[in-house]
Amino acid sequence: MNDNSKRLLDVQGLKTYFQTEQGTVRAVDDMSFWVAPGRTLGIVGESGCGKSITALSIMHMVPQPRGRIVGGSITYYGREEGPVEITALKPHGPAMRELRGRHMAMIFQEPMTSLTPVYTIGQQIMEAVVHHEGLDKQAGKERAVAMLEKVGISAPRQRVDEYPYQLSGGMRQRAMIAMALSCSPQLLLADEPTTALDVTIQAQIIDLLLDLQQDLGMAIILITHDLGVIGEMAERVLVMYMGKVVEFGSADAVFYRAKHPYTVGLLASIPQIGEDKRLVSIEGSVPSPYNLPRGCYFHTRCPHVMPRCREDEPPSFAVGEGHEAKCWLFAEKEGEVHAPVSN
Amino acid sequence: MHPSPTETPLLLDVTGLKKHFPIKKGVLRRVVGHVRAVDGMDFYLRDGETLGVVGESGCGKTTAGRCVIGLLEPTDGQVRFRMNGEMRDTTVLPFRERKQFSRHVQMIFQDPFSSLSPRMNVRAIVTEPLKVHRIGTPQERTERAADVLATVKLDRRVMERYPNEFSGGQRQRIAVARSLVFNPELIICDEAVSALDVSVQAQVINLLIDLRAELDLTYLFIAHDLSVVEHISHRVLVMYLGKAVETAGKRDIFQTPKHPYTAALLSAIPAADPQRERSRIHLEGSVPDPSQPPPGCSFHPRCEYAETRCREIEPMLEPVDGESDRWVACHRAAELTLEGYSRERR
Repeated sequence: MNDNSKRLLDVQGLKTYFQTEQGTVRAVDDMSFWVAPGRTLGIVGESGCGKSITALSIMHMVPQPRGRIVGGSITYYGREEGPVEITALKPHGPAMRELRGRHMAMIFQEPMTSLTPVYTIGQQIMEAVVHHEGLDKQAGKERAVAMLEKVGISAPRQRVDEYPYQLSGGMRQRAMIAMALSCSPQLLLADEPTTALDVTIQAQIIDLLLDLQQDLGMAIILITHDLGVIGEMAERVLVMYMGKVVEFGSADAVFYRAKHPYTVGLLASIPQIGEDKRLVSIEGSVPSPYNLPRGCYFHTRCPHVMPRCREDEPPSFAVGEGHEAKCWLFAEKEGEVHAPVSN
Repeated sequence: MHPSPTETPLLLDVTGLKKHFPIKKGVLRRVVGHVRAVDGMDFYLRDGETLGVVGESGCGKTTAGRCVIGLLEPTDGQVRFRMNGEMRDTTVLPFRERKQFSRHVQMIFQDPFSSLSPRMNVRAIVTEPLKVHRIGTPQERTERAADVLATVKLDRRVMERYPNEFSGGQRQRIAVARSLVFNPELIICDEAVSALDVSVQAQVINLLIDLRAELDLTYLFIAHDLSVVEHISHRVLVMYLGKAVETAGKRDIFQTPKHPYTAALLSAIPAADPQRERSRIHLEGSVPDPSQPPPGCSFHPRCEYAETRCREIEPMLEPVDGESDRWVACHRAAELTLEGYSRERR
């Protein structure tokens, strides 16, 4: 935030659409944000809001052939050779492969489906190191052992030769983090990294990610539906609804001074320990992606809906310093924001 | 709000509940050991009360719920339930009364996508329990279905539609409606809101709370999400490796936990409150294998307060001095002062 000139990743007007038999799904629709080196951006939203597709777009791993990045740009500034435009690269081409793993890495919700059952943990961690850094097998294995130790797996020398099924859920998640971090990426995309885990293991993984971020100075894009996890980790928070950013700001601004009715509703929906008051839920449910409402996508559920909301899509309005909300409620009070949201 | 503990009659009284699953190996499928999913549990429920059962995956909370409703036959122990004013052991009921019992106790499952048959319309789903129990004519059953659907705020027109036409929250409402057709007294909610998105989850939590008041329901609310449990429960039971380690009123449990495991769980709750003061208790290692529980207290390998007796003697669930309805299974409970859930900000 303080150093706006430094960017690691810049996403501008990103549109990722899926063609299905029922029509086009605009999974990500005109998203702009950027990430500074070493900082944590949280992306929060409910299932189907497009948060995972945002991450897959950055990794250029949008499921083919139905999904496609149809517009916008994703620029990565972390290479010494200069910035690179990810959307211009071939998804399976050598340039993209060079970026993936070495510069940016991703961890997923379910470690069992992201680790292959037929290779040992060590072989899977080594793969990236051998590919990107040209280490031989012996050195690769040593790196794997070192990484397992770094993520807090006990007896790493023994574990390195074990298969994923031999590890517990928390250990698998650690192994996957070790794999993602083996080449010291500058950007880590963590998609629901703790959702499948128990609460005590979740706390361990959150602390581990925060420690590793301190050590390695990497930026994290944390994607989750869990506002609790966002509250623990993120410095800046981006709230998504139906493929669009509805609110963005510092964690404090979004949690304590939420403006967009959707964010306000989400926060009121979570039970707070020690408070007995009735939960305020958001009425209705998420609209069908094939049949989106006109105007603001949230107007069908919004308690503050105005005639204008049914007709025109609102732009983002500044509602505080570095804090903006995509809602007509703030139209008269503040100026429209054109600058991209930042972190 | 909390039903008075002494005056309100018991509805459910579980004592010494055990459920062991055999581990079979080899071509002869010989039994080589047992997974002690539930290994000696005592708890009770009074009329109108909600008991939240928390614990991490594999701690036996689902198995305990299934033993209560009779989906699993307990290996040992008694599940006593009040029928016609009398506490009856449901594990040994004759067939006819067993059927009657099954109308008093109903269950709501986690995933409304797999608990509702995709081939049945809502009318068939909601009236099926009545049909199985041969209650009423088809018209009467349909009327009853319309009633319970109205109770969960669904229009009777949904009856001709199929589960795939509904969102997760609506499906869970249908599952709740189905559980209400017999006017049950006890509903076991097994992670009933865990699969739902947060905005929809709040709707279903509110619905469950409203129904509790309207229909005098008693809930056994099994969940891993401590904030949800705290919100809906009157009392909370914490499980670890097949045993209850602590049970108390929710204020007591969250503010002054007595068991080190409870304190560790509370410290791990992620808060949607970026400036909250955090003091995390780090648990070493992971939950032991329930087929080979450690000797003594099963939590001792991960407990920072463990001493010799904890490694040797298993602590029993005992009342905490001077407090009614408060039980803990820890040798050192009396001498330890543990930190509860704090909402202080930095």
